[in-house]
Amino acid sequence: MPMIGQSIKRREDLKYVTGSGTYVDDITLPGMLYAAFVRSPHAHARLLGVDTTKALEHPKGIDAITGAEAYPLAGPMPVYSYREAAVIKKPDYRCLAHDRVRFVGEPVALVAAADRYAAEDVAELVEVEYEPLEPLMNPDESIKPDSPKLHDNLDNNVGLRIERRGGDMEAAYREADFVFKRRYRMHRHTGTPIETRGCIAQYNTGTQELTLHCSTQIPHILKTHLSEILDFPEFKIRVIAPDVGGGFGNKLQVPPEVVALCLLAIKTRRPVKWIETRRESLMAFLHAREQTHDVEIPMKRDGTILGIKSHEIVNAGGYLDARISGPSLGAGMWLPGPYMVKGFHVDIDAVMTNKCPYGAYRGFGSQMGALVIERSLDLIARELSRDPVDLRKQNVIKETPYKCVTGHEFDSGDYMAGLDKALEMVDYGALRAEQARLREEGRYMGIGVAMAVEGAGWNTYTAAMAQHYVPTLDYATVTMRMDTSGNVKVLIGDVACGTSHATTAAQVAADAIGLPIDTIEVVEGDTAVTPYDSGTRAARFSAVVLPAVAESGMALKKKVCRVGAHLLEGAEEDMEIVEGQVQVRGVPGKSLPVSRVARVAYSEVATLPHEIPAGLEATESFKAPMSGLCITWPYSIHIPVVEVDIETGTVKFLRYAIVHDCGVEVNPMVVEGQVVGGTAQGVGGTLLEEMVYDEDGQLLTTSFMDYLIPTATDMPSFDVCHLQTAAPQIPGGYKGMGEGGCVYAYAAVVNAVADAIEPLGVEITSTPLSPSRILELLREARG
Amino acid sequence: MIPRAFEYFDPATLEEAVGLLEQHGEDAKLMAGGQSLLPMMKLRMVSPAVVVDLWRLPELDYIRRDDGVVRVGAMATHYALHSSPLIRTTLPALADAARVVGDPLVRNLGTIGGSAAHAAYNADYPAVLVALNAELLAVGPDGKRSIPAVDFFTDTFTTCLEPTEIVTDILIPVPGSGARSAYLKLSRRGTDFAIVGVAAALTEGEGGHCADARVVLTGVGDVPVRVTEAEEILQAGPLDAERMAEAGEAAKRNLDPPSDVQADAQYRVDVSGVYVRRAVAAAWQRS
Repeated sequence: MPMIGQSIKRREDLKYVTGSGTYVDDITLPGMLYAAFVRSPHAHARLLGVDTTKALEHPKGIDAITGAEAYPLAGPMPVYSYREAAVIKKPDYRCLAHDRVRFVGEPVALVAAADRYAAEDVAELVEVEYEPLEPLMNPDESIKPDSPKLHDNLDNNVGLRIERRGGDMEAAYREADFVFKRRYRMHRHTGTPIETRGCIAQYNTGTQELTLHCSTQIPHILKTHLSEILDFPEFKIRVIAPDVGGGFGNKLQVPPEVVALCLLAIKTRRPVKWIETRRESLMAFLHAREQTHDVEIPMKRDGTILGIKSHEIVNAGGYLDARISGPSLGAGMWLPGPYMVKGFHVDIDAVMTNKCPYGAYRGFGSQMGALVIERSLDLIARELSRDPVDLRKQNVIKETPYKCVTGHEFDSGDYMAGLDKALEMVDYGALRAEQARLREEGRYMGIGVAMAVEGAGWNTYTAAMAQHYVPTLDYATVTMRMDTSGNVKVLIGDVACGTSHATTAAQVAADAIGLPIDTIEVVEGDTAVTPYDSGTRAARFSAVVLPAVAESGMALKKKVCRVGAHLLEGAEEDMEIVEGQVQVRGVPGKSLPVSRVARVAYSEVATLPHEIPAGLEATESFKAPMSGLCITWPYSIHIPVVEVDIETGTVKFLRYAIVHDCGVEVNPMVVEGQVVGGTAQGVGGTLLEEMVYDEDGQLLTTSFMDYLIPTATDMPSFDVCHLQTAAPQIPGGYKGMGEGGCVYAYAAVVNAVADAIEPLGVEITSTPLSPSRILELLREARG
Repeated sequence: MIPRAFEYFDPATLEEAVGLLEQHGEDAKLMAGGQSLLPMMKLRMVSPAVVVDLWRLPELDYIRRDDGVVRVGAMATHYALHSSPLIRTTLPALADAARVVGDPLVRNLGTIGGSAAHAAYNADYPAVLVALNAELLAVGPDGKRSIPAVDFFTDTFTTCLEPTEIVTDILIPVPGSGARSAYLKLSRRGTDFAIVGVAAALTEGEGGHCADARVVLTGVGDVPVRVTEAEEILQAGPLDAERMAEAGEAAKRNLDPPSDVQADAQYRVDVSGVYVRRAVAAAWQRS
């Protein structure tokens, strides 16, 4: 029975549910020191002096490093240039602040102490002198030509400008009967992995090797970047990502803290452990999402969408994170949604402010693009007195493949059929009747519809213009190593962070080789043993890595069959492997266990002909074809049904229907887990989570008491329908899918809440939809 | 999330505990479950030199009825309270409150005495204790004294306790016939502190009237806020939906609640009216 398509139980769960996983903080190395950061209490200040004298007088204070000391030892943090970025000027972003501090929580110094408690005490003794400066919190202000500059080496506060054009926008305006205009604002929030950042850096004087145990999604890429930043030979750096308790794209970061930690490990010649506290994590790990869009949509009176144009402003924070162009483009390039438009035009400004730097988070900006188009469709439908579903049906792409004006070629799927299925799941017609009935009772039920094409397997960057190393995500290399007993290790340069790789990669490998899954084990995360890989990101595992697993498995199978053919005295091309037996196809009884073949390949090499090499190992790569920014195009339709309590502004879910198509599913249970988990995160981001700064630039949400992540009690039960339209360009037909739930939920939930209270004269164009905000909108509508 | 160094004591007797407080004065903090104290210590918001843990004092962990009074030990956990048949039947508002404090982990360790003495402006118990006319017993170097709940809370995170005093018992009169109560809380998520919480203690009189009403809010001031104007409205005629709504509107007057990241002051005022109405209705429906 083929393993692909089976909802087998996750092979990694025994470890997780019995508490026998190993996270960075579970690792203790001999002679290890504990580190703590001194962080800026100011949003914006000149750094006049950092004095570690008193700190090092503490009996347990061992060593420290300041920005001034680090400056000549570590180069700037990387920023990836997008090939069509019109402007990208890099702020001088260092691992520790050296001239000014530019956000609350920015690392200023790092201390090492004999234990974790002492580290915190020692850090408190570091004396830092600041001259506070006026903070710039609002990008609309910061972008103005006369605004004070946050970085001396920039011409102004625009850190990145991208202009993208597609199709014929002029024709779209020319043919338009009217132009729909709105300003949308999405609030700042981020992924908050339950395991915060953490790292142990260790320098071996004898071998001159730097070893990191680090909670990261990108062990290989981190290694390359550290080599560049520290001017340290790459082959002398080893990064080990042990179990990782959540990543969500945040852990694609090359953390400045880790660079500083490496410097301190080299300085002290001892292993140094840093485990981020939740407060640090909320202040200084990457934030995401905060954007505004000034949108114009030229429309025909008959409901035809002709084009979409937006000026997108991203609040980039105090420095540019490496991936700043990704989520910026992710929003802009997703503006047309799954709809046929003639013209597309987006101008993106990522603007420097005194907030935490802005980075990657599940969905990579595309939820903002989805919100803009999906919210606009609802508002246009109202203007035209049309049903919002009807307007979508008129404009949705009817046939795939479809070449979008953005340059993306949507690969496969039937968006209309998906929408119809979702409408059927909620019984849309009856639901609208129920809504009308409830409104008469003074109850406000809302139905939100959102549909989107998710890009999976992004490859936003290109090395062509970069000053730094730039990872490319469109290929993967996998090694299969069979041992002397016939068991197989699958070596992958990724990291599982709740992403079920140990299960799905084993399923694909089992089918490719013809072995029982129990004899296959997946190994990830250690750069010393796995092939180079761009990491767990961009929903690329299914679309890029799994085909490489299959290729590598087939190559290994070929080698096994070759030895088997010799032993069974058959032709190599007649061999097959079934349930762990090498056999001659069609000749029952003429077979050998794979374990026997393995034994021969390793220990009876002399009995093999000269042209058959010893050992059983294969390494193969898969290079995925790109279409625009992405590799595959899964899609989904979300229909949440909510009731808004108009006295308190609280939102209750009555239903939540999801239709999801990510091509061939290796493990439907895993797919459903990702869909539901992503949707829950999206719902949380829409209703609960917000990074709130006051006007002085102090972050007010520095604990989980104030920054509210959703809990089980806040979630509806989700009905998920799986469609499986194979990706034609990917062997196996898989598409990536990890980010989508988080993308569509945002637009869908906003639309549902808006639909509920729209009869009361409320128009929603910004988030979050906290109860307080909903009541405020209702108050404003009442006048 | 890393506290400063502190010295830890877990005395075996109350006398010993009081002695430790006398010895260390303001440097000492009592721990009665630790569900607020420990997070504050981990965030270095407070850094007591000495922590005196009351967990070993079994005489403080009980729930029982003595004649006309329900007596609760200060170390009774939230879980013990909301699962107690005595509390559920005689003091439903208290059971309601105990059921919505924090999450199950907090409810298993946190205690009523700890929560009351912590006196957070948005905690659940203070409003209920005032509404139910509770008295708190405290022991100190000069012996025991009894403090009415209404006098106990003096400011947010502040009570009338001396640094050397320990809350030992909470006494609540068993309500007479026709009495009913409820506590209703509005929070962002199930596990959060109250944006607004309302404790309503009502006594049914003749002909569908409410003979006595005590309605107290949490989350809208430094101390529990009793809305007497609303109470008067509730008692002024037959208690129907209209009267409840009127009382809700009255409760909103003269409130001066705080703003925070979860809700601004105006929101708290608006939902106070709604929650007073709903809490009264919830209590009134109980028989």
